[in-house]
Amino acid sequence: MNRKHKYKWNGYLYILPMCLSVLFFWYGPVLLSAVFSLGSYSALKPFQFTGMGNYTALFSDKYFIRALSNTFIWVLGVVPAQTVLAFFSACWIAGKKSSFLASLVRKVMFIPSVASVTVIGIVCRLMLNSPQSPVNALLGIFGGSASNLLGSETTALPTLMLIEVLVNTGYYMIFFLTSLMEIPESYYEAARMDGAGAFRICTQIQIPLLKPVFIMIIFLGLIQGFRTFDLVYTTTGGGPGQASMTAVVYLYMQNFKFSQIGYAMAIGNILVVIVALLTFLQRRLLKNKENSLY
Amino acid sequence: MWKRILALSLAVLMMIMTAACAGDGGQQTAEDQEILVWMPSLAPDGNDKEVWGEIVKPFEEENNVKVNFEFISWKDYEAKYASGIQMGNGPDVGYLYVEMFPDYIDAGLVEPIEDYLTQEDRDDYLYLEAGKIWDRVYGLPLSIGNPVALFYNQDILDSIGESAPETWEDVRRIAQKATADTDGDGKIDQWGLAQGWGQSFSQDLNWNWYSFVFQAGGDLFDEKGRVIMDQEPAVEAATFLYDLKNTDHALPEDCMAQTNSEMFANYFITGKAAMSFGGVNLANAQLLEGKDSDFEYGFTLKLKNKIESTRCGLDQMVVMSAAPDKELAAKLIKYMTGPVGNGQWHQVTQGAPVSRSEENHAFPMLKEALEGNEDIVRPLKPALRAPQVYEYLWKALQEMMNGNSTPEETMKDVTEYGNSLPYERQSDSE
Repeated sequence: MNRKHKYKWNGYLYILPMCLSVLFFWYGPVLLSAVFSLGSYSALKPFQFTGMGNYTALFSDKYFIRALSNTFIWVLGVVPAQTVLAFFSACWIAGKKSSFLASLVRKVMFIPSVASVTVIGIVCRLMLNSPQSPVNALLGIFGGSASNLLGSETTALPTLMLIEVLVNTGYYMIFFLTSLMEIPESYYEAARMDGAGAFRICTQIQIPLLKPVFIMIIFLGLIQGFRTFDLVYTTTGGGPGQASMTAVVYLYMQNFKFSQIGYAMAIGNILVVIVALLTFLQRRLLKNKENSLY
Repeated sequence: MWKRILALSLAVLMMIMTAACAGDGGQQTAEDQEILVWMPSLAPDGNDKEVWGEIVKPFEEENNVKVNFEFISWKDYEAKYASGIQMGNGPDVGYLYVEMFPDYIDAGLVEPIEDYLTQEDRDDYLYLEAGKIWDRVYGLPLSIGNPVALFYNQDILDSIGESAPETWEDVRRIAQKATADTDGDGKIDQWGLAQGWGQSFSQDLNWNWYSFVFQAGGDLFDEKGRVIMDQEPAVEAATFLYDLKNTDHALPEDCMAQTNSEMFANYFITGKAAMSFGGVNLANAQLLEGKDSDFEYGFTLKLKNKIESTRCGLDQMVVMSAAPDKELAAKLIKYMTGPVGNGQWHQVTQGAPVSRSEENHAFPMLKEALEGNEDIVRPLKPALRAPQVYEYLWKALQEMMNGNSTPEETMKDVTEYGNSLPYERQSDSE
């Protein structure tokens, strides 16, 4: 029998709306951002092409350099802390199986990750700054005070980083917990029969089997870290001075406060390149790994 | 066949829905007759929409127009205006403060309204001259308010043998003497000055900066719009503020974390600080009236270094150049700022009248503050790029107050930054 194969175009029609959305709402702005970063563009005045002027100005802008280095400090501090905390929290919860306490801890840890970061920032600012706050009362017992944590240039950024770790840990803990639950019990039984203690079980069974999860969480954390905005903007605005300024907060100020849109887009493009590199690295690291849990 | 038709229809529907999500902006058409007004939220109870809705009803009926209000938070005020105008969704009538005017006028976004004013209007408005920007009338004042005052706790002053401060030297001396451990536990529990430097944006420059430069006999910009803060008056003002915190240690430890309003409420109102700078506004008046601590207080606008001077706000309603019916928009702002509209508004906000024919509903403290002080209250001088300079200045002052730079270095840095931005008007350079 001769039967011509008919090419079906239906599928393309079904995905056409989404493709157009991605094109107009993602690729389009990225392309426009690249174009506008090559000129002087204000919200109030038309675009004027200036070439690479914005980029050369950025690398001699001491405040951008400070914001970028604060962002790297943020990422290097927050990502390991939240990853380690999330992993050990998941190990503890998984070890307690279906106990009430483990279930409660799991829920309490996850709640901040579903709350709005803006709301968290406002609440944290009130809790730290108010002399009557419970945080101040608790620290007062030990002779300390929380009321200037966000006002001191040495403690503003670390305080915000700590808040970020506490907010994110619950979210990443769920990833670890799900993967830990899938490790067959027979692995643990065999290890215990060979005389392995908790430390060896953790380092020689759990961590190796969860390697892809670690890679994914670390890179998600890195990407999220480079995009830090809400928490910093609602608490300190990048202050005092430039002490807690991050790259995206600086971008926001350039774009919306100073109307230097071209300059802001140049900052954005640099961050896009950094995040793209991280994503590429993550994909390379995960590329040849099958689901090696079993 | 039917599947293809269905798929194509769904694709077209999706695109139509996407296009329909785009707003049509605030622009009125001859058929719609709507005017979009953007303002900050100023009503004490936050019910601006209801209040203004009632006030403009007669105007709407008389002119067959619908007035729509949108209220914007102070923190994102300029950002909202910039992004709205850029997207073509800006208002027909706006509310601008002096820092915003120059950039908007230079970009041709605000309409001069002299042609819409009658001689009767010119005679009636009290602050038309003070509100001129580059010698032209671009708006009509909605309110004059928030003159910056030095509030003092008379009980603390009496306890240290001092009277109401009149000069900067008085302020420093009182601040030093008042900062003390009053209960003998070895910890300071009373401070000389409650002043907050923890605001996340430049709003607190209103209480913490401008007036001191004026009192030192200077200004922030010259007539051409160049930043002149490296000159002696601004350096002197910076040194005064720096010394109060870092030399006299007269400010509470958490002054860098709290806003000025928070410091006023947490330290001055509770009787823990001898002095505080703040605006003479309804919020502060109500705080003072309702304070739990029973102390006598006073306030003065007449603090002096070289001269007596203090900053006040003179925010104005303007006609945006994109408004299709500018005459109607001008009529609206005359109504809103005139004796009828503003009279009703000031009944709610207890603000001071801005026209001679308006009844005075100002709350007592504001009446007392403005009476006899007309010569010393002044708004800021308009200058291009002022918002950028002020944001930079605020962050630089925070660094200075934290001891990371000297007053001279800070003022030099701010001046260099400000003058690196374009400050000449397009009309000047053409």
